[in-house]
Amino acid sequence: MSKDSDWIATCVDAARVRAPVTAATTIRLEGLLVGPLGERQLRPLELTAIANALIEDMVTSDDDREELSDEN
Amino acid sequence: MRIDTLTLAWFRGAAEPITLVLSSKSVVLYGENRSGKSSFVDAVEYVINEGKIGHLAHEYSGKHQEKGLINTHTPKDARTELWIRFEDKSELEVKIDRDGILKSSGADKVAINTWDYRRTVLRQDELANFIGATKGVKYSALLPLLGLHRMEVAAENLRQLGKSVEQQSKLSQLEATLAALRVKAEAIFGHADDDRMVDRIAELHKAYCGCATTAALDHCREVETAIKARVESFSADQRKHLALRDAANVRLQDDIDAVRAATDKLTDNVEPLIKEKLTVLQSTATFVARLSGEKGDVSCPACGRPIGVEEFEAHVSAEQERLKAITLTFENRKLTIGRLCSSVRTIKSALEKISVKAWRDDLVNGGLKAQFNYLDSMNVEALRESCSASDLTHIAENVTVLNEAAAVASLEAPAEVADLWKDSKAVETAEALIKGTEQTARLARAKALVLFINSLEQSIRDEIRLQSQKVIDEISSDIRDMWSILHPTDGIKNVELYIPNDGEKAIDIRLNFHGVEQNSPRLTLSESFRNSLGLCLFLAMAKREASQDRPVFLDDVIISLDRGHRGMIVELLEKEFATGQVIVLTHDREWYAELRQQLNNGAWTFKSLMPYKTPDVGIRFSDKSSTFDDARMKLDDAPDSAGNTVRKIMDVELALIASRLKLRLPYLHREKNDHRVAHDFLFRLISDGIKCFKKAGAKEHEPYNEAIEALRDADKLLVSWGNKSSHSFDVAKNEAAKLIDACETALQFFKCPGCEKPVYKLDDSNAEFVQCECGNLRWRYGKS
Repeated sequence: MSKDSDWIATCVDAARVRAPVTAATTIRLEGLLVGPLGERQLRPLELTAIANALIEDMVTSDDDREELSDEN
Repeated sequence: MRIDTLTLAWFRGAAEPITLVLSSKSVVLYGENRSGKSSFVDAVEYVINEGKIGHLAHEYSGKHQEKGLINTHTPKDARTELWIRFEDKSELEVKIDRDGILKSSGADKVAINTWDYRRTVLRQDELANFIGATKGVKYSALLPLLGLHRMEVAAENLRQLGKSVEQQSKLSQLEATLAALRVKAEAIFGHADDDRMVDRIAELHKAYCGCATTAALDHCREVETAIKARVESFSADQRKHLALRDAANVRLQDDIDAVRAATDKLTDNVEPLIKEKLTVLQSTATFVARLSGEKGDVSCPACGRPIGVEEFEAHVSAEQERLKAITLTFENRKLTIGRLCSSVRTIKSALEKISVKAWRDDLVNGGLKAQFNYLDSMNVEALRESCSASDLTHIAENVTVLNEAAAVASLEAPAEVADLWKDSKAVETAEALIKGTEQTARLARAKALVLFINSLEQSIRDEIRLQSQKVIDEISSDIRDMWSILHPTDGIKNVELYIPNDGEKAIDIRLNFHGVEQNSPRLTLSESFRNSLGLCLFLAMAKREASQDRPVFLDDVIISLDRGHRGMIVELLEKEFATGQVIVLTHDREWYAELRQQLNNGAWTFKSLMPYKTPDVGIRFSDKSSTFDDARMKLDDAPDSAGNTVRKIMDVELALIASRLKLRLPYLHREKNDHRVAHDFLFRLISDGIKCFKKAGAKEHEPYNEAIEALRDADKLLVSWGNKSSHSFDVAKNEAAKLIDACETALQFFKCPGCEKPVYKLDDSNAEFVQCECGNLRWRYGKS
């Protein structure tokens, strides 16, 4: 798992530079990569549920995103 | 974990339980075609792939392949079973019911179902297939080996997740709505600058409401109220012009044209798509009915490629993805119809007002009665649900005429009406834009999220590329080494795996073909060379997992190779797999004899199968003695049989030696050429060998006299006692023992005492001799 964490952290950092998003979104996606997103090919309904949760995250922590944007 | 024994009962060609004893060693198993060799390999594939054998996967094999797995002559009281005992003495037991349902137990630690079949078993037909496969198929096959499967799964999930976010946030619709609003604002304000728009609204607020203290949205609402109040005070004529302005402002013909264009586009896409999808759906319906309880691979009815049942859903989802373009076209058409409905409603509402009644009556009397009747009878909501080509024609013929008449009439509007109308539209649009700020923010958030997910996928793909490059460099190095063993002088060099620059998820093989770089082995390699390359690739992959110490099965993989290259495979196995477990299956008797002679007898065991008789007899191992030691074991009880065995050994072994040395033998009449006996070969080996067979001396190679003497001894005894064993059956024990020793000694002279390799190697195609590995022994090649 620690080996997975290495590439996940590397890839998430690289993606954040290219496209800043909220910290909540980043954390959620990192967790998803350690978990279901890296384990097996997810079904459309499972992906829809994750997509909705991520959209919700973006709405609830907009200020956070702006901070991140400033940092980058 | 090595395999110790493999036992089959009523499985494929097997009848009563039969055990292939490997003793955790490497084994060469010889058997004629149809003798049942591959049944053992099928058993391994069956347990690795949890109940599926690739070459049995077709429509007649039954739901669980039971029609191919179970021996057709299995007695009622017998059961199809497999047992695999491993090096640690744990045993996997598999029982297969008549309907093909399997139950397995034991050897949990070994977990053979986690082994990768593609790195365990290599069959003849799989060699060239892999080399000829697309770069995408190669990528899929190699990915688990690269150890990057998890990353690939994550990248693929992210790709789908990005699309899902786009759909869920209605990104395209939101973009279209906001873009339309911007176009409207630009038309009204003459620019798309938000600040200037707010300033303009503030001015209007000041003009209509007399103060400028509230926020922009409040400004809009207050100005609207003020405009409404002012309209209340308008005269009948002013109101008429205001209503006509509303009706005139609509660009109905543009809206009709937009719907027509969207409909045409949809029609173009829909017709072939519907045909295709109907075919797919029909196949899928039949197919899905058979899927219940299935595991492993099935063939997709849509595209035909093999796919896991669990993947099937994802595959269907990919098919849906192909519908995305048509879905967008469909949505776009809905949007254009929505705009048309809105325009028609605006005209209808404007022309129904009492203030325009007089103007309307004039037009009715002037010949536009039918047009007004049509407008009055229109159900705009029904139009939204279904807008046919005929509807569009009627709208164009009727409502457009009224729209144009209103436009002409509205040109006569008094200045104060025109200004008020313009102001009211400005406020209306500004209000919509201000309210759309949240939508704009939503759009930005969704876009940022999609961009992030796509970037993350790209980052992971970059990482996959980086890491896979390292691994394929290592494998390529092994492939090159193996290839150079098999093809030292064939002009094909620098064989390596590479990741093509033109796409993700692809791996291919490139090489240098007689000085010309080739990006695919398909371009220039013959089938036999492709097979050879496939073998190198398979062995290189297997070598990479050497630490797992799992067996490797090579099932008749040398069919397309010529004698010279078959000999090189022996060298390859000895060099690269001396410490691993390899199970070689072959139907080539000469190669089997060659392997027996060349491979280290300590590390390898040799077994042969009897020709297949009937399904109820099944697979049988041959109990024929075929080694000198076996012959010695017969000395006490049957010296004739011992002598006869030696004679048969010499017939085969000398034929092989003669072939490698290209011994010149006189032509015999017809099939007699293929039925030479030991004496025929010995006679020529002795007469040619006096000049041709040499051993390294102090300064140069010298005639190998001891060898010639040994050959003479063997020939002498074979002619006298060997023939006696076969024909008169009165050979004494001591005579047979002497015959065995003489023959064994004679053959030993063709194997170097230094490097322990036979005289077989042609290092230089221009050289006139073959030699052993170290060059100590030489035979003048093809000469007398």
